[in-house]
Amino acid sequence: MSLSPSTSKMLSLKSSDGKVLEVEEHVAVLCETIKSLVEDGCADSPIPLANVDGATLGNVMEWCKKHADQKASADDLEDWDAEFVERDQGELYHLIMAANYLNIKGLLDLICQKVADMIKGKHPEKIREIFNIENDFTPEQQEQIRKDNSWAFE
Amino acid sequence: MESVSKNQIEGAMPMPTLPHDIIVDILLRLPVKSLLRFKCVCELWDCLISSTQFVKMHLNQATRDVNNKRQRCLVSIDPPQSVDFEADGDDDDATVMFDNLLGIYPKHERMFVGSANGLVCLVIDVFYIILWNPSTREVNLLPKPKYLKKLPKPGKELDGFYGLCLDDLDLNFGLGYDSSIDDYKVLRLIPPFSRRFVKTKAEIFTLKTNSWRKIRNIHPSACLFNGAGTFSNGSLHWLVNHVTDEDQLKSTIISFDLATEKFQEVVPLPDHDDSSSKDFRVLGGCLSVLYQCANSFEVWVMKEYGVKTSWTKLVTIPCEKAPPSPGILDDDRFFLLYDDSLQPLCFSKNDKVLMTVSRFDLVMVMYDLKKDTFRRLPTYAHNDPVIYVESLISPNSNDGTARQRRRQWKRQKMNREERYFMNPQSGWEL
Repeated sequence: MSLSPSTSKMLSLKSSDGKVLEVEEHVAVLCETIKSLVEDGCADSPIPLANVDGATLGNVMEWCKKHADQKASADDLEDWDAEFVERDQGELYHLIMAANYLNIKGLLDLICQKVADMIKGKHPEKIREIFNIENDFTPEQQEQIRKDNSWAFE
Repeated sequence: MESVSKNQIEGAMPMPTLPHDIIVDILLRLPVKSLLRFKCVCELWDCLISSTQFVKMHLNQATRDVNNKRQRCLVSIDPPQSVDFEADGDDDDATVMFDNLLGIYPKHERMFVGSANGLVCLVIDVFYIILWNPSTREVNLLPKPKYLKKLPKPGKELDGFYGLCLDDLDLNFGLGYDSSIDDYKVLRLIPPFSRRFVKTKAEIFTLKTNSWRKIRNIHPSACLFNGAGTFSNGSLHWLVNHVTDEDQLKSTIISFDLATEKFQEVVPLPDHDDSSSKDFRVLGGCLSVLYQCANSFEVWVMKEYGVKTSWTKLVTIPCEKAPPSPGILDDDRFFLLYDDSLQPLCFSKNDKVLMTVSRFDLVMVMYDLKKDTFRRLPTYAHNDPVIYVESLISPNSNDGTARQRRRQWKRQKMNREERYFMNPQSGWEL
């Protein structure tokens, strides 16, 4: 694909809450989902993105814009990314879901790594809270697993 | 870092349920210790983290991800001690001390003899051969080898070798992974040690069978092997120096294919004028050789396995003829001397190479390939250090604990259900 910034046309993206965002095509095609729509010639009208709200879509496109910029160096991008993921959990959740839906591998990797760094070393109780998981072990089962790897809880 | 994530976690609402494949993607990025903890989260996570597929994916993730290789270095064996040479400094697990494995106290010697996919093989007093995963702390004391009875006791003088004990001979080992049968193998070579025992013998241990078997057709140069085999590309490798008919010192790589279990001489060395004093190991997934030249050290790597023309000089590190001035051991001034013995151990982040330099002890340094600078690490190595990757691979053949446990629970649960249906009033409290 030869989509250089100078020749890039604009695409409009419509979020789940009805907001329309005008984005340069060479930025938007970082989303594999949008790229295939463009390639199939189905990207004329505003593209409806039923699973992404306006605020999240704005954040996602901000990331895409930075990463579509060919002048940005690898070090620069790394620093920028580190700042980009400094968000609360709710925002991170929406970003993960959007990156997954829009199929942006780089962004998905970034946020998954961020969540991994956040939960590293936490206690299982905290993890259940974060991920909204129900503890389906009996106390005996729980104790047994803990005992198998007791050193990991030190 | 800790405070930021704490606020983030405590301030906000929980993440509504994430899709399963994203949960997997997140968990694959975690260190082993966290994963062992998170088995407690729920039954699904316990199943997932214990599954063979997840264990393999987690290992591959570490090999793939340049910035998160989860490599550690065993710097001491008695007691075992492991360091994370990439740690930020405030990491609790930067240095880990292990208890005495299996409570075996060596009378003579213990040594690491290899590492593959997170498993480490160590040998204590020749007789005890142990497969160990330092990350999960699982241990497997291997069954007694076949060629055990014929061996004299450690410390006893050998028949026909005046003054030599078994400990003085090199019993060579090698640990590797055979992808053709998805199994781990330990090769054990016993050099000739008596008049009745004039050829090198070999036997091989396979993890799935948890047993040893003798193998034949040992390479005639096997008696010249020095140290543990280097594992790469499904084979173990040894660098052998021998004298040619023209009285020249010549080096050859002899490999042992773990799938076919045959010795071969198929891996070439680069053409190099300086054939002296070499260190041979795996660096960044490639076989690598170190040449000691007059004013420098050269590190060569074979970029494409088995292809002679792919041998590439990675770096030339200059060395000094004599210490420039007192204070050579100062942290900020580190020089290599021409008579130093250097071991490049592994690649680290941002084009750095972890190395040991033998002074009085083995000094650990981080060498910056781009800037040609050394940074001393605060640890010393006490043995030949071993690099291993953090993995969940089990050193036991029947990685049973988790699976057995679940089977047992399932039985208990069924019993409860049966009893419930037979006697509904009693409820689930039985």
